[in-house]
Parts: sequence; C-alpha cells; structure tokens
Amino acid sequence: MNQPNIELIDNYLKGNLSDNAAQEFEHRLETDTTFAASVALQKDVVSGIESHFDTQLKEKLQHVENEFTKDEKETKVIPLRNWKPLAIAASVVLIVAFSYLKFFNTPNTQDVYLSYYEPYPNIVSPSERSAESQKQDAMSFYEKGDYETATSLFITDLKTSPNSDYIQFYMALSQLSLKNAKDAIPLLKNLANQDNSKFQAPAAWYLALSYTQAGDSNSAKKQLQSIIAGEGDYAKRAEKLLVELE
Amino acid sequence: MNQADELLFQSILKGQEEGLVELYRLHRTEFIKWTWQQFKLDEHDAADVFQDTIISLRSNIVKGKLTELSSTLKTYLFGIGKNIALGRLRQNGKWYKNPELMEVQADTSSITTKIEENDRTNIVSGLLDNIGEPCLSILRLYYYQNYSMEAIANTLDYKNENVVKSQKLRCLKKLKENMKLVNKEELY
Repeated sequence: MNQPNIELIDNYLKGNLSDNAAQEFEHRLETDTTFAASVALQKDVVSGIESHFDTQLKEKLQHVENEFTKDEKETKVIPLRNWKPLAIAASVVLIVAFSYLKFFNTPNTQDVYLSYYEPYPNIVSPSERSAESQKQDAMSFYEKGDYETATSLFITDLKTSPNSDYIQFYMALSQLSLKNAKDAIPLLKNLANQDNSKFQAPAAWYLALSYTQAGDSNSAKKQLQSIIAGEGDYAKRAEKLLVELE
Repeated sequence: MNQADELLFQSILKGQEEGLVELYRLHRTEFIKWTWQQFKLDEHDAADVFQDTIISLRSNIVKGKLTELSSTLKTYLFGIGKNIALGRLRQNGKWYKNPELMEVQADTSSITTKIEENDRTNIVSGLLDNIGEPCLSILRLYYYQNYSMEAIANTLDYKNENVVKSQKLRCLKKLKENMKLVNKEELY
C-alpha cells in the first residue's frame, strides 16, 4: 500500500475532503477492490485506536464512580445487636489471615522495586550538553519520559563517546524505565566502580534496583549491603529496601 | 453556553481528562435519579450508561459535531444519556413505543460490546499497549483528540507538521505489521 493513500483515507474518514474529492473517493471505493481493502483496514485501525482510549477513559470514570458508591456504603450504618460473636469470629479470621501472610508471603521483588524506583532527574548542565546537539536531544527525550527514543539516541552517542559517564548513566536509566534491567546492569556496574564520577553513588543505587527489577534478590542484597557500608547519600534508602527484600 | 460550560467545553476539546471527570462528578447523582424515574434503570446500569454518555459527549465535542450549545452542557448530556438508556432497554427487550422518546437516533451500544464486535479493532487496541512513544501520543492526538498535524507538532515539540506526518505513517506501518504478526499467531 503506498503512503499517500493513508493520508487521503484519513482525510476522507475525518470528513476533511471537499465534495468533489469525496465523490471521487467513493467512486474509487466502488471500483477498486484493493483500495477498498485499504480503506476497510484503516477504518478498523482508527476504531481500534478509539476503542483503546475510550476503554481507558471508561476505566477512569468507573474509578470515579467507585468513589460515589463507596461513600454511600460507608454512610450506611448497620445496627448489630448481637455483635460479640461476630467480633470474635472476625478477630479469628484476622489472626489466621495475618499469620498466613507472615509465614507465606515472601516479598515480591517486582512490587518492592516499583515502590522504590523513580527516574533520576537530569543533572547535566546545558553547557555540558551543547557540545553535540544530538546528546541534548537524547536528554530532552529522557526528560519527557520518551525512553525508547532516548535509548536509541544514547546508543548512537555512545559510539562517538564511549567513556562518557552521563550517557552511560542516563542510557541505563532509560533501559530501567523500559523494564530492560538486564541491559542496564552492565552499564551501572561499570559506573558504580568509577569513584571519580558524580554518577558513582546513584549508579550503585540504581544497580541495586536493577537487580530487584530483574528478580535477582541475592545480587540486590549484596549491592545494598555495599551501599550501606559506604555510608553515602543512599545508605538510608538502601537499608529500608534491604529490610523489605529480607 | 454559560461561562462554566465554556471552560469545561474547552478543556474537553483540548483532551484534558479532568474536564470529563468534573462533568461526571457534577451530574452523576442527578442522572442516576433521573434514569430511575424515567426508565427504572438500577444504580449500576445507570452509572454504566452515564459513563458511556460522557464518552460519547467527548467524541462529539472533539469531532466538531458540537460547536455551539443552544442550551447547557447538562441538557445536552442528558439528551445523549436518554438515547443510550433507550438503546440499552431495546437491547434488553424492553421496547418503548413512545415516539416522543425515539426522536434522536444515536449509536447506543455499550462501548464494551462495540469492542468485541470486531477482531481487527480488538487487536489494534491491544497492540497499542506496547507500541510506545512517540507513536502512542501521535496516534492518540491525531485520531482520538482530532488534533491537526500542526497542533500535534506544537504539542509534542516537533519541528513542523511534515515531520509529524511521516512519523505518523511510520507508526501506522509498524502497527499494521504487528497486526499481521498477531493474525499469523492466531492461525497456527
């Protein structure tokens, strides 16, 4: 299918064509079966896109609705005359449930990871970046949260300056945001060993998070212990995370 | 249109979800009471109808079907809601013969059933979960929010609309290739 067709079809579907052009379009639709198939496909794509976002909106509105029904339930007071046996039964259920959770609930590393992970802010000064405009682009995509584009730009940047610590660092963080912990780990390992880099401490911390995301809690614990031993900025956070992982 | 309506209208036109949520909060309780009086819909069904009503209002606004309100946003909302409620009753076999109630034709099937109607549509909707940026934003703004190419270029910081146009075509190409892959998987 050649590309100008798509634009024409979109304009037709949006009702942007002039009367003449629309008539011509409809005539072609009746006579050209390949064209008709392209139009049908594009129609389905468009309604797929609409359904996708409609569904998201509906979910959002259902959440809002739940606030209303929850409020109603909370204000309804149910009189309980004989509450003692019920209260005892409830406490038994609670105790059983609690001990069950305590004994069988090993921490889910993914959940722990999510509660600790947040993207590292852009601390690279504009002057440092302006040396090559492409790097700036990668950083601005990183800042916008478009980690996929950022990653592909960082990859090109790394080819020209393979030793740049900040490219390695933000590339690793982009990978981490894309849930590609495995690709982030080697970069962060390297940085965590560079004592003279300003990214050393954050790299060590995000390395621990990468292991957590990858589900490798043994390596994560070791990494956290070394952060704690270093008594740096991340030591407190590391202690907390270590407790949760254990 | 009064000033409060005008603000909500503009916010919905821009694609801000908060406007829709505010509209929902403002009229939800009255709508549910009203559909009970008119059609005996229970709270759960009425809430579902009201959600689809808001979704339909959004679509009408961004597609330019509603440029000026002769009455308030609320009147218009209840008008759409009435059609959707009647459509549901018809589906459930409770046909209302009152012609006055049938004056406006509208697409009344539930959003959920609409999705299930068409496999290809369904596949597209699923693929969007993983399409990533910038495609997700471009496709949303162009097809769902009905932004012009120029407006998208401004919103997403592209150099000009031609860059967005070609990026959009690449995104569609990727999406259609993935559709083929999904179809193949389902065949085997």
